Amino acid sequence: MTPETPTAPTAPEDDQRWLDLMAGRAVPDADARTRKEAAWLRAAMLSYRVSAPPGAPADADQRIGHLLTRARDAGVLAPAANDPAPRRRPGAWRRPALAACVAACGLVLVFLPQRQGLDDADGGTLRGALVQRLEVADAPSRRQQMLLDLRAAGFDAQPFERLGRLGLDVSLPVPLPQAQAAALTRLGLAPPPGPSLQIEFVMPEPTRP
Amino acid sequence: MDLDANSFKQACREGGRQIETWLRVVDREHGARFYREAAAALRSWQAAEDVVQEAMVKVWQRCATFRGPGEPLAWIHQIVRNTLLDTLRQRQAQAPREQPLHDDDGQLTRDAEAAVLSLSASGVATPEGALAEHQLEAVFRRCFEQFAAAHPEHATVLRWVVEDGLDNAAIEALLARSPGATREFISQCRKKARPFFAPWYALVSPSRSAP
Repeated sequence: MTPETPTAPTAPEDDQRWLDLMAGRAVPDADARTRKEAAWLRAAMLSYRVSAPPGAPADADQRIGHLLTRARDAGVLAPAANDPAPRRRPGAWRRPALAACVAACGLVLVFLPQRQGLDDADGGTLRGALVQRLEVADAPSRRQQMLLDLRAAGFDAQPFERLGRLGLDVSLPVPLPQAQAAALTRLGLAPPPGPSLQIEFVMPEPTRP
Repeated sequence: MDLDANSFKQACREGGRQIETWLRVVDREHGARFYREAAAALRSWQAAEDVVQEAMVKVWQRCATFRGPGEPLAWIHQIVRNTLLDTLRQRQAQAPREQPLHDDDGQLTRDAEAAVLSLSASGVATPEGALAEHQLEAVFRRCFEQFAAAHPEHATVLRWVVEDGLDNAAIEALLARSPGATREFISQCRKKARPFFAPWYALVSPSRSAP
């Protein structure tokens, strides 16, 4: 009998053995037919590896250039400093700078009370440089609420649990649009500089008697 | 620069120059492997560049979901492969539908089985001694190309199984499927591969030494 023309029906458990044999793992209970079918195919696939077509990737500098442009377009990197910007007459920078200052002050005045309210309710927000930690009495429900709030605000947020700590990972575009920065601020979070935000929900330290 | 988990997480949190450095270093030190793997599956360097770069952007859009302490490079490689499989699926969805080789139970249709037997018979009739190694290789390559053209996702995953020894958990992660759906995918790999390799199976016989 040859290992060729394997047309007989197969059982799922036999298919699993076939896959393990194809991967090079020992399967003592595989039958001879399956063993042969897999051995020949595996040997041929290893001997006659599929190679890339003739040619080569683009020149490294050009390729990196494309990659960085793409990352900027996707909001993973901030726009390049030398991106063409509209020319302004000398001194014209003062007006947008003033407007930005006014807007920033406005944001602080509008959202500060809300943040304070949220922090008070949760027992305080600790903002480290790397991970933002929220001190809360009930971490599971607070995390769930924050997850819903973030998703409702259009963020890509994923829950996690690490070393017993509950948290959320949030993916962000760079630069962060003003509306999204404001939404984070409303939720008591500091908009981060990078494309991700990690939030951990921690129990308050017990007070000593 | 160390491409370790701590440096990756820090770049993810801080963004900017750190991500740019990671993009440059990964492309310079590991890009060749990623581009070559994608080009082998897509048969085009340009398409490979597109897929690998799309994956690199995804890596940083999803970097917050990276869970150490495993190597970020392994995770990046998995995203490259995910993106490659997505592209193969999209291509296949856009390609014209071919006559199915299997029925709903995954067994060969009568026509397909007849074709397999006929091809096998013609193969067996070839004088064995006349078949040089390179002829066997040529037949095998043609069979694989036809399999990959008809079922690119299955052919690519099967290739990775053979070359990298992927187990069910790794296939599950690549395909983002449940364990049950992964087992079904594995069965389909075997069933879909069989008719395409029939002409080659017919040429190799037990009396020949294994390739």
